Amino acid sequence: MKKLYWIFAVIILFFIGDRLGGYFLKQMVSSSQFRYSKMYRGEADCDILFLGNSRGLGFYQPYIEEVTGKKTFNLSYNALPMNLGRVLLEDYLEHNNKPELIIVDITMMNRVDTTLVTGFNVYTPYSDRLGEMVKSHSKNVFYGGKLSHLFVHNSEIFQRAMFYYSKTDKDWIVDRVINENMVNAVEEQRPFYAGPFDWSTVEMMFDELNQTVKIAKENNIKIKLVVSPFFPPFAKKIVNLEHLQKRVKMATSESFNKNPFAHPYVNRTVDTNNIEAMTKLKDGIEFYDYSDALQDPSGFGDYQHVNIKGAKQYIDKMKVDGIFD
Amino acid sequence: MIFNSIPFFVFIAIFLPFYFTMKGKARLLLCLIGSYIFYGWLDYRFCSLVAFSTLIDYYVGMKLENEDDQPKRKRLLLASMIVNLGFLGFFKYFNFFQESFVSMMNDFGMQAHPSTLQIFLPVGISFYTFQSMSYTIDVYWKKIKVERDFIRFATFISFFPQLVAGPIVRAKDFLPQFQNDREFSWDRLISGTGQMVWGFFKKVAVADSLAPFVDQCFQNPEGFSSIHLLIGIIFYSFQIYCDFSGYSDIAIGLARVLGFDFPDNFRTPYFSKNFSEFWQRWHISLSSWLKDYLYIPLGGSRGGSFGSVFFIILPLFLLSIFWAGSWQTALIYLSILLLVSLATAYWMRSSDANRVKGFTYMNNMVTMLLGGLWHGANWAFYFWGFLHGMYLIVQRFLGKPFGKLMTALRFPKMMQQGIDILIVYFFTCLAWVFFRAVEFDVASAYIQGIASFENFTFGSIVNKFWVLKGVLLIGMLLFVEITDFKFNYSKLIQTSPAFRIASFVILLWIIAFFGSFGANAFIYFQF
Repeated sequence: MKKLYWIFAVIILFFIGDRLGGYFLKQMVSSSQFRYSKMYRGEADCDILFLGNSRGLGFYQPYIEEVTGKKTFNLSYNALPMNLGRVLLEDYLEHNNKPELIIVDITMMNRVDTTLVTGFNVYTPYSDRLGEMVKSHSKNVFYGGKLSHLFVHNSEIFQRAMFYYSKTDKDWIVDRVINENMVNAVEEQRPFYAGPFDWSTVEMMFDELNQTVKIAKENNIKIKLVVSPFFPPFAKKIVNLEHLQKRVKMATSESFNKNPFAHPYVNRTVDTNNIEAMTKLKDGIEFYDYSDALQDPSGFGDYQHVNIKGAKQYIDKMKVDGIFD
Repeated sequence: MIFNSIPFFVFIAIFLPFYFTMKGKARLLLCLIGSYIFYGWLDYRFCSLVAFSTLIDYYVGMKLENEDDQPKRKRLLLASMIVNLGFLGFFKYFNFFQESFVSMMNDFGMQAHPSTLQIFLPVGISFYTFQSMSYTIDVYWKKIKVERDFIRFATFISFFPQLVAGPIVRAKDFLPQFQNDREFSWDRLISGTGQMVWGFFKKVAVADSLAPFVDQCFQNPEGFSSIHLLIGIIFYSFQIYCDFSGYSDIAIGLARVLGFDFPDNFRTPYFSKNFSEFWQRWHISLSSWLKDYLYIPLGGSRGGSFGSVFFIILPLFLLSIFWAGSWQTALIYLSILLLVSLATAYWMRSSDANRVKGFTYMNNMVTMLLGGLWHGANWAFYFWGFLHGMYLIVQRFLGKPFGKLMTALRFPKMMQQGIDILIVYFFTCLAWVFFRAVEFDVASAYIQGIASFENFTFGSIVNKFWVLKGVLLIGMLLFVEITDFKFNYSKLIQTSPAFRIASFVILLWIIAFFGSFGANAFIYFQF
């Protein structure tokens, strides 16, 4: 029987260390300067709120604040999908004062990265809504987090929170110039779908966009949708912008319903009646298309991301177009 | 069933109490049924293949025992080989030869279409086929006695801890362990569990954490900077090592808990100072299998036959044509191949010593080529084997002069060893590029990407957090492996309860904090 003791000792010590470590890491996360930590602390008040995936990091805050004189906050994150974006927006409004304007890069409807969504487990202690979102993507991760508090912090989101523990993430942006190999290989790239390209997520993504717009309107916040710049030759690879414009307009309409539309991206049958219906909706929002707005290759870090130089050019164009008004 | 999945933990929690309470035949039967459930969980249809291989080799073994006539014995062995290798060849290489043929024809402007028949590869077929074959060959060579108990034999072939990805266990080592019931032992439980936890750390924490970065690099090598790709291949070298040796550790540990001893399959291979040593440290059960059943029968380092020459020349000939893409390039490649072959033949004829040396090199090459092909039906694996064959040959030529140069330069011994280790690691990584890329175009773009030294700056690395995590985990792994030479942790786990508890707890914390729990399959399952 004595031999069994070490097994109990391992289990007990594991849980003691796990709880202590988990508590310590949670304190670290909650006092970090990372965007979501600040948001859940209620220290993220702003005039303009940005939402997007990694392309949303092109809303380079230091320069926007310089040219507009307004306070900004960015909820964007690499591969952040629309559904998680909507949850974060709701949480933002719950913990902070309302902004005047929300700007969304709608290419965040592109895909759902389950690993990314479950990585937000680290912030579930602050939001039941976020907890439900994580649970809906992976019950194992959600309940695993209940079993081990160290496991809750097992994600890139936690690492970022530590990276930005004592410094601001406002200037987080791609800091490289697109390499020659990529420039040469651009013609070989496959066509790119700016909207959702996974058949199983199309309905959800447009529904989430509808809800996001609805939340903004209910809170009397202006909302503007954009498609940020792509590397110029790569922008020519985007095949569905025109159709996406119609669908976004329909999805952001108050009369939006979730009836299935023909999928426009995989060459399935397109229901022309629906397209007609889309164009007739007047109350929907159209997005501002900046997909091929920049022509200078040195303004890009890769095909889809502007660097600081590109971001400044992009912001200047947005300013001229009155996007920040 | 894979080790890093919930079904496995449920399975083992049910299996172990029954295992230790049952005795004799009942326990064997439990092992057999458990093994088939374990294997069938992945795809039940392939259970029949294991069963058929088992039946054939059991039958051939029994016949060999009662047969004294040598030609008849040879025919029986041949029949077993044809069935085993036939299955292996069909399931593993059918798609490969079909696609290669079509691709080759199309490259040369001839129309050819692949048939619609696509064959799915049964998991672990290479492992259990080699294990099964080793039994029949050993019975044929009269190295071991035939196993008359069918249940015992079937359990030996399908024993679940090592059925899917090894280590490949020899009948002479493993079958005798089934003779008596293995008693429960606390010492075995402790050391076995320790090795399993270490295996889980390697797989779940290290290998699976490195995987996303590596996948990204090889999906689009043109898209990344030189330094990014360099980190990618270093990460891959540790990913494949931790993935495969992690599986071996779990298998060996689990078998030890059940009362069985398996040989080591890995011994810190990246600390090898030459390529011969590398193969004594990497996938030991396969390299020793190939050595005993192929390299030595071919003549080893004492000579050989022209059959092995043919074995090298023919695939190289095919590879040259396939790789060339046009008749003109193919002609150039074939001319070079012919010249090298003629020069080698001339050199071998010049003296008996050269003849023996020549055959030794060829035996090395044949063994490595087959080792490459064992991994899978792809020219890239074949080329990977070819590179390792070349490394062994070049090492025989340059090993001594290089050693003399090092001595002449009067480097300290530790520094000399460090240089040796780095050289072996560098060339091993070079071969891994082909192994991982699978397609020559991708491998070539990858190597060109590194060699360009374009954007060799820290800022050009994408996903620095993955890099940071990877470096941290590799650092932990290397720290343990290096200090293990001094402290012998596996012994400490047995003798010091405080160390045992501390090491288990720390490893479990690390797994919880860094592990990837997506039940990612082991890389070697595909082989």
